[in-house]
Amino acid sequence: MFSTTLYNISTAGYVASLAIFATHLVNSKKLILKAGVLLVALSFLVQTGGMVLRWMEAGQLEVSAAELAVGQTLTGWSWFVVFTQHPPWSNLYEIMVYMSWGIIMVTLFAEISWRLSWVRHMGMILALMALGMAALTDAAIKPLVPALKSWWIMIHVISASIAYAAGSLAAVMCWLALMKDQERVNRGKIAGFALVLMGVLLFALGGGPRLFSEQAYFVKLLAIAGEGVVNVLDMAKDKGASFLVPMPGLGWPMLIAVLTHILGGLLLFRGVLSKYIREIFTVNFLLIIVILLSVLTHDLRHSPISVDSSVAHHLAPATGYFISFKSHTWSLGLLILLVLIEMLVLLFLFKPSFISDRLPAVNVLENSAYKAISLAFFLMSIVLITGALWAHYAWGRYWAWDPKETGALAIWITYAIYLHARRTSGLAGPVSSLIGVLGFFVIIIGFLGVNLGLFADGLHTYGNS
Amino acid sequence: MIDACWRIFVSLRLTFILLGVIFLGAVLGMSFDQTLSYEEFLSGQPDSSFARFTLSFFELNDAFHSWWFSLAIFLLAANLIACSIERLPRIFFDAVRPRPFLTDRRLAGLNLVHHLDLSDENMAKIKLSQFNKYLVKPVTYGNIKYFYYDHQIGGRFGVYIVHIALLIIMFSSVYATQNGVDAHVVIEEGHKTRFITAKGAGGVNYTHDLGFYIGCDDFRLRTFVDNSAMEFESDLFISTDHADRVASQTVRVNQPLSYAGFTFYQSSYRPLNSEKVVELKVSDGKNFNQNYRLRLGEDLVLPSGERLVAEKLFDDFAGLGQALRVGKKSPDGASSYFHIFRRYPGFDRTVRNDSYSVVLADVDQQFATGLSIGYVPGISIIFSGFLILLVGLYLCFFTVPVRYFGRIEPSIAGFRLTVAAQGFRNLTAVRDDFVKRSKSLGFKPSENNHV
Repeated sequence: MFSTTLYNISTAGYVASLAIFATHLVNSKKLILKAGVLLVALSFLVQTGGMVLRWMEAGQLEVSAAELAVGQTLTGWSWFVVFTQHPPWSNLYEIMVYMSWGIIMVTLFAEISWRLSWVRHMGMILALMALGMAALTDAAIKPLVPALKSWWIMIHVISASIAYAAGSLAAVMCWLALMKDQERVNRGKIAGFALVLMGVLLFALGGGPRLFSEQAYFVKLLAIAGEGVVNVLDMAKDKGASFLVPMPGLGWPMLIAVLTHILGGLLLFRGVLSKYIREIFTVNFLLIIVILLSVLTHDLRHSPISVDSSVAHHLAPATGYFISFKSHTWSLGLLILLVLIEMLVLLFLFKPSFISDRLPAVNVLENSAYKAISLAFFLMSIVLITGALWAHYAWGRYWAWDPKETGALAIWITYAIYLHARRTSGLAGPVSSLIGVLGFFVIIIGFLGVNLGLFADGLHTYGNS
Repeated sequence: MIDACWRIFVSLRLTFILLGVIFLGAVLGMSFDQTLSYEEFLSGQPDSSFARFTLSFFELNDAFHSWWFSLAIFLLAANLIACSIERLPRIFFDAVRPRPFLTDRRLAGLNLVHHLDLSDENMAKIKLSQFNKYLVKPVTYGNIKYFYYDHQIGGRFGVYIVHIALLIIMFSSVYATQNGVDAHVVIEEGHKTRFITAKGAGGVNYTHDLGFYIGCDDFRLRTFVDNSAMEFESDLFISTDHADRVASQTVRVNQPLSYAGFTFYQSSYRPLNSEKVVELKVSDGKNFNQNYRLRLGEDLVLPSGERLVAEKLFDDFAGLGQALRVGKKSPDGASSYFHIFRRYPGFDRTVRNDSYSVVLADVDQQFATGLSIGYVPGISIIFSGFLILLVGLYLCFFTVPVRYFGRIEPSIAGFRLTVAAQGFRNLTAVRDDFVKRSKSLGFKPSENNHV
């Protein structure tokens, strides 16, 4: 697929531009910044070309499949309908690529409009993470399932992805505003808030309440069947069984990390032990690093897993079971994101001036975040409205409290809370910025909650593959 | 007391708290499986009586219809209404009956105020029109001329239009939930039913009588080469006790059938493993040519009195593809059987060489079609709410309501031209625009200017 090649070229461009932006942090020549922005813009164009091409590739596949099924050649309008019905944001791989495209677009817009240092770096990192996660999912173009053959998919998914992108960048701006705003926010509160948030995220990664009872970090089981590798979940889907397995030796470190994060965070937030703020944060950061290294070691070694006979009899014959990167793509992505966020906070704690000196004024950051969240809120409204209309015409119910649509509603409510906080005296400023940061995590939970296995499967489960 | 309650209901802090509770409800509803019945839900929970009491008290198996979630929605609706009653009339009257005078008192309350001293009044008017082309019609009071213009005044109502839309959506959704039907039914090809399984309060299912019949004539499935579903569709019909067919339509995903307020959606299908219909062509090679559709086990009677039975279907018979074993019973009671092959229609005529030859023309897998049935009274009102919401959001986010003022008064230098602006949203953009315009025309910041 030529589109994948274009995606790879654009990814390389984004990596290079991130390096250029990093250079600009220590050498503030305008030329360096301009070169970085130009490279991002060029890579963005290449990625856009890749998406157009993938649309055409998917269209050709759909036409071939339809012609094979109906036994006749499609022409005219029927050909056009089938050719265009499969946009390049129909499965998880494409959604992640498209998400990165949205983040880059919003980052470029923010760069041109506001020229906010650090925001461009964070935007690039988020986009590259989305591309990295896409690389771990199946890139093959598969025929569209019937439920997605609707023009509603265009506006619904387009709005959602750009809303998530705007919301993510707004969270970055809010976070930077909190770090810059040293008059109203002290470092202990910042670090404490970050630790609690990371702790909650770790808790979710550990399977929620199960972490306390089972001390495990659950991943999908992969099997070697014949000459290929299959996901055991796919093998056993018809039998209604769930085959998540704990990654060996990771449960207790996860539980300890969750507890130390939340406890340490609460203490720092309350102003207790603020003398040891760096030490507390460093210990927690090291714990996360240990967990990440342990996970990566397991993944790289393709650790063999023994499967209980009560489970094995449900499965197709396999010569062995193991876990790898593909066993927990989303969890791994979140874990890396968590490490990056903690690195940023650590940098802030040890070298505060390195960050705050390069940041614009607090009100500039807050106003930019407000505009980005206003856009996200507007687009999330479109997502909810078009989703309801589509659901009414496709499923017979405009609202079903499906986990994914409830997740979208939770994001919308979060931004509604933010917008109201901005207009409430005493809540505008640091409190509204905190809500803006929280919005990013609600996006993750709302968007990926189903994929992470945190919530029950709903009507949107075809988006998982 | 009443005043205190009113103060609570008109406060933004209450909105803040209620949205927080609804957010919490959304997260809890996502975390607990909402598709289970009350008994199923409790069976999967810890045995602790406290945990069970808590889960039951907060109705976490049906969180979105629980008392506390409903209460939060109700209070939010009350909060929205109270806020609108409190603030909307003031804004409405201010918009329709504005006070155009830029008095000293008003000047003191504005942040964006610039002035310019000129010797000529006409020059002042020209400068003012250059500042804003709509500031041209003065209201004269004494020897002072006042100018006034409301830019994108509709934007001031955006928030209230959004609130009204949300109220419409909330109330019509509650009505639709209370009076609607959310059901599912599985109908086998060639059958009809008037009873559907509907989802009731608390996740309890009940049987709903449609009052008419919904039936399925035929179901068709098209698959890709990997056997995954490409498209599936059902030929549905509606009949009543008095009329055989009052409506019929082919439904597929995204193309439903509507009748009497109910909408029937193609949602799933199920193959009936034992149910396959074979199409046979029987001929004597002369005058007799007849097509028959038989289920497995059914028979047909030939003019000679012989009976042919569709006994067994083979997906692949000895590598020759799909085949049917046909039982033959003579009038004298003798029985035998033979095979016919779909891939070789001439096989029976040439090989068996009987008085009647049989061709396996088609094999039709029988399915049961799965239909979602929705009856949503007031759906058009809900969709109208969506439309109003879009209008409100447009006004909120794509308009910048600003009130511009101008004042020309005699001064020591001749005439003093004062311009001022009052932004109602996006104050940074309003300020930047104001400063840019006024500075380009040579205006200077006044004392009470905060820019």
